[in-house]
Amino acid sequence: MDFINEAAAVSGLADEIVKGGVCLFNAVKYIYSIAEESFYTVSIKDAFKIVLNNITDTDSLTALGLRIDSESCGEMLGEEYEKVLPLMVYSLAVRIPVLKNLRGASGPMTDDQLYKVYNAVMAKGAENYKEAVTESFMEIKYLVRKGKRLPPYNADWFKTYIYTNVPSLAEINNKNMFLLGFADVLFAMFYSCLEENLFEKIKEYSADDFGDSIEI
Amino acid sequence: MNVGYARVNAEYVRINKGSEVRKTETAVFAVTGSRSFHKLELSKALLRFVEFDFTYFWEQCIEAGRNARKTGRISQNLKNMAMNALVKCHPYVEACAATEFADVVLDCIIAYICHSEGIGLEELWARCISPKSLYEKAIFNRVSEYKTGRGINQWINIVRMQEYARSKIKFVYECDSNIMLRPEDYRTRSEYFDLAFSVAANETGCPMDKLPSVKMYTPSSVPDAVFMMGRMSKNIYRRLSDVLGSAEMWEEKALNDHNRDQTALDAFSYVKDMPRPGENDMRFALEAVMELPDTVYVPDSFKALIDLEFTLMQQKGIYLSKCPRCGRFFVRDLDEKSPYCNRVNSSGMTCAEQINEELGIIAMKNGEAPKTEEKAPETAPETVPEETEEKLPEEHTESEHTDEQEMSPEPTYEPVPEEEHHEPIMIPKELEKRCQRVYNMLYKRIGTLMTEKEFREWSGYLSDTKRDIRDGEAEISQMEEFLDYWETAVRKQSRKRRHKGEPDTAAQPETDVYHESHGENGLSSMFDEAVKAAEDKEDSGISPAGTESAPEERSFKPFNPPKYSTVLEAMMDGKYKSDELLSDAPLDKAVDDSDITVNGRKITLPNWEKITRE
Repeated sequence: MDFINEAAAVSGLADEIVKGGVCLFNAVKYIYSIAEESFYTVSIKDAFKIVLNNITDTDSLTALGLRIDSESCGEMLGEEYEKVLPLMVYSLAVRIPVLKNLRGASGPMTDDQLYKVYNAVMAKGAENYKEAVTESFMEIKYLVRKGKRLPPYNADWFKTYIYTNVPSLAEINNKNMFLLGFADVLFAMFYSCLEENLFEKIKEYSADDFGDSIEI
Repeated sequence: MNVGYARVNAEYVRINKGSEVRKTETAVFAVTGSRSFHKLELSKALLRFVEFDFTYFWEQCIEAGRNARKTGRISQNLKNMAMNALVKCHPYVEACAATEFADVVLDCIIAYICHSEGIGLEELWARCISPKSLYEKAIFNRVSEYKTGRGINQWINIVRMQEYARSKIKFVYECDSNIMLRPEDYRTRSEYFDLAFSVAANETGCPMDKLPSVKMYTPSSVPDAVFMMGRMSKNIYRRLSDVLGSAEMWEEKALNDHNRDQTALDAFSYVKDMPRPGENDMRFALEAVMELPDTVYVPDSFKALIDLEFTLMQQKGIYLSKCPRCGRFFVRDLDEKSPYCNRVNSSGMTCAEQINEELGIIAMKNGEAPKTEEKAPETAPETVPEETEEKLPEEHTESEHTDEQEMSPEPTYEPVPEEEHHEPIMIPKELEKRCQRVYNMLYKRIGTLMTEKEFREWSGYLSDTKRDIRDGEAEISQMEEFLDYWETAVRKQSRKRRHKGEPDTAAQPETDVYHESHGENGLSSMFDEAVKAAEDKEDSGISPAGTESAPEERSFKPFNPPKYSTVLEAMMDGKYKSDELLSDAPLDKAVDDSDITVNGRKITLPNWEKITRE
């Protein structure tokens, strides 16, 4: 695909993915804090709506009166949980080949372009800590190239990581069960919105005229 | 810490052009988020609140919203202007301007958007979910507060509170006759009203202990006493610093009914051996204490303070009455005979002065010495229960005619010989209902079937006839004949209007004919002259007494947010774009759209970008 400025496009897309990862990371914390004292006053549906409408910015969640601090989500302030952030970004980065599904007049993004975006994201701190994420860039690239159906983005790796590395969140209690429950839904919906966002970004950076339609 | 202080003081203030001095009681209070004292003038604050016209505030809010749409943020200046207009409505609003009512301008804008766009809060929230400006973010945050129970629309709250206060005043103080009831009657009415509220709250499952309430303290026991009485507190601390310096800090734990005493006594244990201070310290404390109120009230809400004002008013013997001339409530002493208020109206005179002047004109025409209205209404307290039983829908009933009948010149009044005196007759309930029905029908036809003056005359005649029946001086058949006539007149008018599709003026002469033919029965010629004199005055370009506007209109300009029956309604009447505050049009072609002129003021309509999301 021809970009107006390829370097800017690569950097912009990488930024968007990293911001998405950070947003998902924060969103999990905010929503987890609902279980602390806002269980009956804050609708999780509203929280989802806010997150999904602001893929790269979770500040709006504070409007619901939610906050991230040691009182509301102290269990997530440990060092082990902090590793979830690079993992989240990594889990999104490995799915970069999906961007190839957007085809402009000059064709889809090339493998080289996709790889550059992947490298840029990895350079920004994405990491597959303790190999928690089972998917890989190459695997997804292969599936896309073959036109095979991708497995949906889910929270399995997140839950596995928590069970094995974050004991305070692995404990069976109401709050933690709430976390594991909403994570499944949130991750899938979040990725779907992020992917749409990335396609829009590509169209912005592309030299091709996409008109109103997206060819996938 | 939120603290409220109140004290009741007796003050003497001049009212009504300095001609009369009336004693007023004041209370001082402070509220949540404020450590200042706020004065509450009993009755004055309440009366001002129920009569307050929020139109200007509303206009300012719309202006602020329009400006915010253009600039992306709510202008602090416009917000302050709107707030300045609002805080005058009640001391509580002024006291909470920076806390509870800090977002009232935004609340007003939100209410306007929802109303004009015909959308609910949920939709507005969804529209602003990805805010593109600080203005949209502010709306989003505020609506989120509503959604999560951390805030309410305070603008709507104020309007509803005004409606509550009006209802309560009307229930407690409005009388069918312009007489003052006994204090216990007012108290009973007040208690009845409050109990009705409690019953409704209880039946609808409201947690009664969470409803608005007022706490009463002495100054030194209020939650923020340490800060409110800072100098004394420092002195005390200095004396106890040794003991308190080594005291164990209280561990945060839930305070409840079981451990409240325990916690308090744990704190007390540090001062139990404290000796009384020296003479100097005591003198200093005396000075400080004398500056403080005796009693401290801490209202936890607006309603609580409104209710407190009602209670304190009755405790201090302050009672209200509705002026039959202007329809506004005013403070009236129990032994005050004149039902007219001493407020200066648009004519530059008070209602009492106006009625006196009017009576003077009439008396002079009749070649008599001028009468004063103070002589007019006089109702014995014993008649109170009977009077209160009668339920007429509006205030222009018996009392007015009572006044007017008293004005009648002697020659037109033929005293009934004693031997003709009849036994009192009870008016059947059906007839009472019929009276009320006809009354309502005619009331609705003011301006078409009869003028307001004629209606007042008519209602006076009706109540006079009723009284005569009760006294045995008239027969029920007379009343029935009277009602028959007016029912027929109303029917005729309705028929004509249906046929012609225009207001019927033919009924007008009939009214006069009736008055002429029945004049000797009830409507005094003196009253006719009063009306004529008023009309003459009108012709001469001077506004006749009591005709500046309908009493109901003048007393309370109703402000009903869902209907927006104010100046703004005119603004919105076909010209005002409903989507002005959140519109679809792009911002850059805003100025080019169409300009409107409201009250001679040219308003350029901005085209604001509507927030959309998928």
